[in-house]
Formats: sequence, structure tokens, C-alpha cells
Amino acid sequence: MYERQMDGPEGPPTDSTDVTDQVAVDRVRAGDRDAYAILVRRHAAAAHRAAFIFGAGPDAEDVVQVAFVKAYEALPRCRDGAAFRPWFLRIVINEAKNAKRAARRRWSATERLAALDVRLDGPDPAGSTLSRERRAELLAALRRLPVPQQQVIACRFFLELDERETATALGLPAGTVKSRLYRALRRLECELSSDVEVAEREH
Amino acid sequence: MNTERLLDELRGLGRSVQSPPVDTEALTARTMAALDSPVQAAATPRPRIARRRWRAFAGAVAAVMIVLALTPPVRAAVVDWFGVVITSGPAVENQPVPPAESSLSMVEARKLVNFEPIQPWTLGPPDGVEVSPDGMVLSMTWSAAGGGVTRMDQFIGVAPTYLKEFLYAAEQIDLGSTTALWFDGPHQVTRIDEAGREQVETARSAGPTLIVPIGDLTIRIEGLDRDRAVEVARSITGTD
Repeated sequence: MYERQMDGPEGPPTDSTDVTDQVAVDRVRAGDRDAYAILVRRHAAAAHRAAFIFGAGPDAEDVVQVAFVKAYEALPRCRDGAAFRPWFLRIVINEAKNAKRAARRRWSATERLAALDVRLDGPDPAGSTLSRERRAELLAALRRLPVPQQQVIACRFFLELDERETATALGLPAGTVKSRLYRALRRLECELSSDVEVAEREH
Repeated sequence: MNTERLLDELRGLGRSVQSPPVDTEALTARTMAALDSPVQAAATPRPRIARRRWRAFAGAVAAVMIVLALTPPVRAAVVDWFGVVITSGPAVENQPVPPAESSLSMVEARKLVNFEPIQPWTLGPPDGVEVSPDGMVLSMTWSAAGGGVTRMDQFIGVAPTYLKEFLYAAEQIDLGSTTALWFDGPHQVTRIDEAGREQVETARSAGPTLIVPIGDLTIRIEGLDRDRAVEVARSITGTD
């Protein structure tokens, strides 16, 4: 009887929080449009942060909405068993870049990340172990990195994706993510320590 | 500085960067409603604008190529390419690349310009760093043991900053995230000031030069051969 109930017209509630992404994706692909609301509700906040960090600015909500609609249409073509979140974040990031390019007064070859323009004049967030000065230094050093390296750093440390998810979200081979991350960290180490030396020499 | 500490700090920085709040329920409702009219929602004009701009840009570069190839050597055609105005001009004698006249530290130089300068790590620390009196251009130079000088100038590529007079077609080089222009022979180069006037006293003969637009910045690399210049550009754009 339980099985019949599961398969019945009422089905399980679509806003259920214990439904995995994979189950929700399968249901949408089987024609259950309302199951998509589970995915939207679950990933909206992370997608909004990604859109903001990749430069969508005040358009971040529109970007996320368009990305969700595009993902819905692309879902039948999504590889079986592929994790939804990084696959979806790639659509969000591309959409954010498009929005940012369109908003620019002038076409530019690459774009800087919005996250790196964040202002640090608000109160230090609770539990932050970093002084505001140190965060400003880190941000300044990040801004000096090449944009492709900034994007890898943003995915790893601002969106907290692992290397594999970062590769999917940026549409890069895993090896490229690894080498860009390595180069970025090496440059940051180099630059942050040489800044200290120069500052000490000057005082 | 050690890597573990850097990783910890980056994680801390990431968590401290707040993004604006979002009303998840409202967004979910709007998105689900938009699924009913997916054609409209997907027909956002944004990507098309981006493509149109790209076409305009590619068209401008093609125009530079044609103009450089066809016009006689008079200052007729003017194209502004990321702050570098290119006209056709006479061939000039090759002259040595001038080293920077002052040696500021990078920390000092950074304070004198209104942009975040890029440092090319592949070339090591520069021997000379200078900033133009108007604060528009930051230059770094490296002297090789054999006496040659490598020079890298950077500036915001929005207002015209340099005038180049070049007889032949410049070569476009695709660097993945950007397109560079390579000038393979000596040519006249002149600074343009903030008011758009040519500063004739700055006119000099420049050697082969690579121009690389990176975000808002434009970089000139002079004094290296084509392959090495491209290698340095790739390390700067992060596509190496």
C-alpha cells in the first residue's frame, strides 16, 4: 500500500527537504515540473552569492532567475548522475559574466570580480579572525592576480567549492584549475611577504 | 609566508565577504512562474549585446589592419585601441629602449596611479619603476646583462594615452582571455596627455611592441622578441 501511495497522484510533498538533488532532478526529467521548486529553493542563496561575486551586482536576482529557467530547459541534456549544484553554478556564472559585460560602458577583454571590489568599511563580521587591515591587504593582493586566477580563488574560497566542483563551475579541465590555483597561491605568498619586506624597509 | 596560513586567511576572507540578502521564497515563486513562459525569460538581451559589442570590437581591429595595410604613410586614419591610438606613419630607425628614469618602490608607485598595477612575475623584480608626471602611466624596466632593456608600461585603456605610427599591419594574437596586438618593427610612439594633446617632446622610436588589454588596463611590452613577449603576456593574463 505504501508503494501505491508513493506512485499515486498526490505523491510525496514537493517541498520536502529530505529529497536529494538527484531525486528532484530525476522527477523534473520525468515531467514533474513542481519538483523543480525544490532545487530552486535549495540553491537560490548559493546561486545569488555566485552571481554577485562574479559581477552581476544589482542584477544578481535577475541573473539567478534567468539561470534557473535556462537550467530547467537544459536539464534533459544534463549528464546522468552529474551533481546539480556545480553544473547549475556554471550557468549562473556565465549569465553573471554576460550581465556584467552588457552593463559595462565599454567592451573589455576580461572582467574583474565584484567580490574584489567589496568594501570593508562595515563592522568586522562576528567571529572573524582577520583584522580589517589584513583583509584589505589580502583583497588588494587578490585584485592584482590575473582574472582567470581570481576566478579559481573565488570558487574555492568565496563559494567554498572543491577543486572538482570549481572545474565544472568554470568549465575548465581539472588540471587547469589545479595549476591556476597553485600559481595564484604562489604569487600571493610571494607578494604578501614582499609587501611586508618593502614596508619594513621604508619605515 | 606559509601556505597553510594563507589558505586559512583566504577561507576567513571568503566567509567575511557578505553578499546582499536574497528573498528565497520570492525568487522561487518568480522563477516557477517564469517557467510557464520560458521563451520570454530566455530571450534576455544580455548575451546578444555582448556578442554585438564583440563584433564591433573585432570589426574595429579588422579596420586597423586594413587601414594600416593600405593607407599611405600620412597621419590619416586614427583608431583608438584600448587607449593606444594607431595611425600609419613612416618607418623609423631602431633605437634602444629607454630605462625608467627613477626607481620608485612598487608600494610608492602604486600610490601615484589611480589603478591597481600588474606585476609580471616571470620577469622578476624590475630595476626601475617610474610614474608619468600626470599619473596616467606606470613603467617598469628590466636591464639585461647584455645591455638590452625590457620595458612594460601600463595605463587605463579608456582615454587615449599613446599615439603609435606604424607603417605595416599589426598582428593580432589570441591569448584566450584577450587579444593582443604585435607591432613587429620600429615605429614612432608619442604620449597623449589627459586633454588629448600629443606631447611632442615625448616622441621616440619604439622597437617591436606587444599591446595587451587586460580588463581596464592596457599593457605595452617592449624590448622582447615576439615569443617571449607573448609568454610574459600569458603569465600576466593567467592563461599560461
